[in-house]
Amino acid sequence: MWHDLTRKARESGKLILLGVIQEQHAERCRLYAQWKQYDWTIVQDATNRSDNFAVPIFVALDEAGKVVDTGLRPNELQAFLDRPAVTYLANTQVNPEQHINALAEQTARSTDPRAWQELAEQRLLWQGDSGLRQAIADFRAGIDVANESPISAELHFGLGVALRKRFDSSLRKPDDFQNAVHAWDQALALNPNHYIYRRRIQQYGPRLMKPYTFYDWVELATAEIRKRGEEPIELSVPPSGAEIALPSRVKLAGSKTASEPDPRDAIDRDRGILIANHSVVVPGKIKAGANLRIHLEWQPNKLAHWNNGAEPVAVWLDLPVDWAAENQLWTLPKPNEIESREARRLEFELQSPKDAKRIMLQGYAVYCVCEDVGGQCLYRRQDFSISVEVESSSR
Amino acid sequence: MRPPSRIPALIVGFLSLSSIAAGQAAAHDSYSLKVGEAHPNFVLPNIDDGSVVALSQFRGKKVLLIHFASW
Repeated sequence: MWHDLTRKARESGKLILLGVIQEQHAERCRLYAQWKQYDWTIVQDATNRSDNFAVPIFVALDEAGKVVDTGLRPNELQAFLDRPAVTYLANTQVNPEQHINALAEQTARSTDPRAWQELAEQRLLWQGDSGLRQAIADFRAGIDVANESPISAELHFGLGVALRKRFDSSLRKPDDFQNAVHAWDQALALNPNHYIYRRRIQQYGPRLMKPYTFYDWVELATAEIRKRGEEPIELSVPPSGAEIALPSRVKLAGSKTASEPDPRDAIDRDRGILIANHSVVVPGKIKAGANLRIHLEWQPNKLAHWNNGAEPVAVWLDLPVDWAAENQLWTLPKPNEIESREARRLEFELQSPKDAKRIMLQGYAVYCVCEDVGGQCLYRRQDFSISVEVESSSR
Repeated sequence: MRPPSRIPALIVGFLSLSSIAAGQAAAHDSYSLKVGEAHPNFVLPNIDDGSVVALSQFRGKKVLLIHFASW
């Protein structure tokens, strides 16, 4: 709406429209902007440096950068544009790298959590993937000195953003996503009313928690952009699973009857030599009776690949007594090529019983994997064991 | 907006004394901007190319700041 309403003022140079997003993945908003044909500047504030508690917010600023309105309405736009111009200070250039170096020197032995937060966020903003390791260390240093003060929530949230960013990069460590979820959980526990913190967990969490589908628009946007004859912006991390799942207010009814793929426990084990398996639980800790979402991934190691001529990957879940799931058995889609080495993923939801306690969720995947050297293809089973943490009842 | 201790020294340089004072008055627990006060400067990456965008670079123009999400 604002895009169209402000078009004339923008084109005549009377107004700057400036978007700020708190999303984890900037490229998704780039695709959205391409779809909607936004031609104005949008910046990413992934760690929520703006301290926003909600979106959308429309703030009108005069020529000197003073706030004129904190909730501008469409019918107030013209009056805002018609306000007489005010004088303003001249601008100066910023060099983020110089600023980071100066900050790092000042912060080296600081006991001020805000100094660590500033340094970590500046690295996250400007140093790209190469700055992630140090940004994560700086957030943790800030958390150590924050000592549960109010800034702790912001530091935990920022730490989660940095960890998830590393998870999406070539520098990922297996536990990065789970640790990000733990950090976001911690931020929300410290500040339960924070909209942005809650949304970040809901983005990856169970459908029962979700207020809406987060990125269901991506498919439509991509199709419509192509229809216009343009090439849509490619997403390096396309939304999937929980991020495009519809919210559900219906509790899980229970598992369907399914046959276990290896009931006699006869298939030889792959203990992560050929395929690496990782799991993430969202949220990191649940209340008894609540739902949770499990994210599983299987990635061929450097010297192995999938054999797509064989049966698809089958995943079995040993459902604990009194726990409910939509399924116990899944088969994962495979590409058309004869062999491939992509990560294969599964997300599923569980409902815990009202008296739930911490459990180790057990299951396994069976698959056909080939060694690159020698080309030997093997049918293998890999077990998984996932710790589900349940808050202890206060009564 | 966060208090001015969060605003890097170089960036604070963009702001007038009155705007710094206004930033100090801002509450930390919400996006509690007040009409008539200077909006704290920010320096954030452009989502298109990661280039540096400072709010202060738009001085001299009226600005409509839209905080939003694609979801």
